[in-house]
Amino acid sequence: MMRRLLLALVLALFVLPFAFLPALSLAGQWRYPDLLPLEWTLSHWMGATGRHWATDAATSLALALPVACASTAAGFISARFLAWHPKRRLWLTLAYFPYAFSPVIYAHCLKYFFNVSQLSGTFAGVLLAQFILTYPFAILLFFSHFDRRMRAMEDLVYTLGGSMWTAFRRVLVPVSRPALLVCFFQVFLISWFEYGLTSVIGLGQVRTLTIAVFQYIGEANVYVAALAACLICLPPLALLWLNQRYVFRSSSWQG
Amino acid sequence: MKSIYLLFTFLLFIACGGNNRPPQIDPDKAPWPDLEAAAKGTTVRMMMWQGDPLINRYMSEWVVPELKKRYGIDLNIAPGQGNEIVKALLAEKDAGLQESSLDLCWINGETFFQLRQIEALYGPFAKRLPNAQYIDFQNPFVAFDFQQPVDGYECPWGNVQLALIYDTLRTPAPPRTLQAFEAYVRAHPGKCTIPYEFTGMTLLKSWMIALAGSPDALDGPFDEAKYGRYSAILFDYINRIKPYFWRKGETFPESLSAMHQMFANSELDFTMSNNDNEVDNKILQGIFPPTARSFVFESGTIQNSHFLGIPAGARNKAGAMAAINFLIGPEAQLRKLDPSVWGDGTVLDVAKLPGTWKTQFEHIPGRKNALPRAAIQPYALKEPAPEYMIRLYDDFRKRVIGR
Amino acid sequence: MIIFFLLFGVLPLAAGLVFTLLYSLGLAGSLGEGFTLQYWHAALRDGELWQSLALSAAVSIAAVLLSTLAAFAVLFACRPLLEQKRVHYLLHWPLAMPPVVAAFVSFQWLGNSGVLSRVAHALGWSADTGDFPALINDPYYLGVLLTLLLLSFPFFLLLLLNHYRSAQMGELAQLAATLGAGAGQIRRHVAIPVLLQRMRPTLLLYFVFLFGAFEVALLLGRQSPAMISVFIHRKFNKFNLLDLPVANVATVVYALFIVALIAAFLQLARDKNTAGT
Repeated sequence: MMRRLLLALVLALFVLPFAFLPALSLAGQWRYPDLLPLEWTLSHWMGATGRHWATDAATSLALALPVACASTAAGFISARFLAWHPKRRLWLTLAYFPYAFSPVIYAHCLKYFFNVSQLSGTFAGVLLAQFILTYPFAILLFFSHFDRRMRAMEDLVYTLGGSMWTAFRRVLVPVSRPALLVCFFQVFLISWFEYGLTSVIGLGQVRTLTIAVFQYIGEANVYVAALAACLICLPPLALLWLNQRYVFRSSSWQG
Repeated sequence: MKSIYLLFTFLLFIACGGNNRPPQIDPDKAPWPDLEAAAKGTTVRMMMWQGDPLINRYMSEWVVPELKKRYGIDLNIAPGQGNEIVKALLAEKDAGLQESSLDLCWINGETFFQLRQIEALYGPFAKRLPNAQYIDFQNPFVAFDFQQPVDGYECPWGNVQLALIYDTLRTPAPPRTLQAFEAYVRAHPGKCTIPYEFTGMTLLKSWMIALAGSPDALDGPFDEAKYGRYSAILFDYINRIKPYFWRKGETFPESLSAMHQMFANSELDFTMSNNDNEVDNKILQGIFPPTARSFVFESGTIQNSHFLGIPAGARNKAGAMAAINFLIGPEAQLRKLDPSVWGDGTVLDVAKLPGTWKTQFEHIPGRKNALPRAAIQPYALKEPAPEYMIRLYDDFRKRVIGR
Repeated sequence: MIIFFLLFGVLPLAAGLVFTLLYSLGLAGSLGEGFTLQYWHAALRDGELWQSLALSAAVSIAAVLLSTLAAFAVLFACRPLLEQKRVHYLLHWPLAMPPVVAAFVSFQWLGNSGVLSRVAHALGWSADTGDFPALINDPYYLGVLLTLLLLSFPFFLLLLLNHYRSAQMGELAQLAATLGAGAGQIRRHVAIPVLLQRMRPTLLLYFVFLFGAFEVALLLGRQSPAMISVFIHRKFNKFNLLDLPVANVATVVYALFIVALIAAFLQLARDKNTAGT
């Protein structure tokens, strides 16, 4: 009985925020000490407040999709070369640093170069910065994936007279499809959730959903901020519903 | 492999080809119609404080589409206030860039001062704008920015006065003198505080003037001796009542939005705004209770103007000037004055305006809960020199928070 | 491909850090006036930098320890239930919440006028907002800690469950039981050591992430001391001319710290690998 209670408590803690956010976004006047809002309203959702949800979400998506594609592809190919290189330990070590660095501090380090190349405050700049941030992560995800078995398969292709292109196209990519999907969605989520780097490099000119949440908190407009938060959580929840594996990244954490 | 290189070249391509360059035109000399023509089809990148939904709405729902419709200008707005604008422009100077990533910024006071210091502002341009003829440059609250002559390096956009906000249900008679405020704070521990940001420091300046004993005590350039004398009295006063502040004065809210939210939730008895009309627009949004009202101290609060400036390295000066000219035009100013739109005071001299505009300005819908402008005008104080603000920021941290 | 990796994976950070270092020594930037150690002196003497580092370390260690403890407790108490499909699915939900949103939710729940405070009021435990303990922007960083816990605990729990399965803990426990070990003994001498051994690298890595936590600390922390990411971000964004070189010094110090931690992590991971084979 106690166990069930404990578990129920834990699950409630996990799930309640997702009930709270939509509720807050539908509330009209909800002030201390009221436990429930004085009124419920659809006005925040109806766009009566003239927000540009569609464009903010589109910007987030326009960043996350190419970044996920590019990092997954580049990470996969890079890992194939790095993992079988004589200096593999060195490459692995080097890939860990950008991964462990706090993105916002990383962004400040990069800022000068983005200024010089006039990429600050542009969509392309944020795209490039997010790629730089997620590419080492993708390499790490695939690093242990290229093991002896993969090596043997690739060698077999060469023995049979295939080229490297064939090896990738016919063997390595098809057998790695699940890993590729996991990496794609992982990188997608990193980009979709990203705030610090995006705000520093994008100068706020590139408005994603996370930037929007911060703006609405800054406006003291909690109802609209809650709405934006709902929109942020929606795609990951959908992914979760499709497959838990895409959201949970235990494999990447084992060094 | 190939796809990566393709992607990379694609990235480079959009990185380099993304900017539509405005046609070359000398913004200093070109006749105005040519300038407007050159601005057509260009993008103006603006940075402004975006902490108020009504202001954001005025910009995004009216100014942006109108500029597009009438002048073919795309206005791209990014959030960022005072020090962030200075920082962004300084970083560009650091990088040795001739061109800035900004064309237009919303500034005043110490930001103007700092930007002039690092020579990051373009000018003088204000007098070149056709609509500048209506601006009330006789008014010292408009022609000076923190005691500094504007000299055409920024163009007045709006005019506001600091007001405090209270809830008539909780505080039927708000304290309107410093003595009364001290008594109130002691009687209601934990219910008052000062935000450690622009508005809070503006309030402190008006207190410093009050404690100095005369409304023009801090007029003129920065005076170290005066600052030392009066700031000592000010910090004495604050430290005396600090233990009765919110969280015993051990910490101070860092944003006005946090203050507003705590006020709305009865955690604080007062909040404040540099915009004397704030109380109306926050009630309208359902954030403040309908019983909220505004008041000013009898010893006065600071009235100041806010301005639009163009970075020296702006790529699209013609577009920025056309946009500013539109923003200071009678139509944009009238709309901005409406409490349900923004409620920002106009910088125009209504008497100078052509006939129909004049009557429209005289008949704008009144404020509901904010005090009428005429009622607070007698309590308006001029902004002291910007160094006072800069020093207060620093010393408040050292002599109040840090103690 | 190695060149591509060096160009996009290594060069950006390396170049950024070199520039940062040069800047902090007065050798780069428009403020630079030749080699000087004055910024380093000023920054290292400034108590705020050390306070920030210490605070970040304390908060992230506390978060990792408490999440691990909680995860073990829940694992041992409810393991069979956790394996149920529907429960297992719900356990993943918090992973769909980015730090920004978690911080926002915490703010609305834990604030003096937040949901919990309202519940306390409704139950008659508190008369006013001031009676509720300060959990947001509080001196002890409790709000930040609780939010980081909310983010890391579910992850640790799932990770433990995974390890529990992959280490075939069920069989191991059975074996120990046939050898006469009691349930408590199995936990203390078999399950906890084995699982901890497997978790160790991840715990260290997670500590590094939390150490650099930004959004949560920005929304729920205090102005002074601030966690290191927030501290550096603010120093970079201030106009005050002396803040900029100090920000650069702080970044270099932070980078050194990360290098040391990653080195330790790789050592741990290697130990694990050799121990495993």
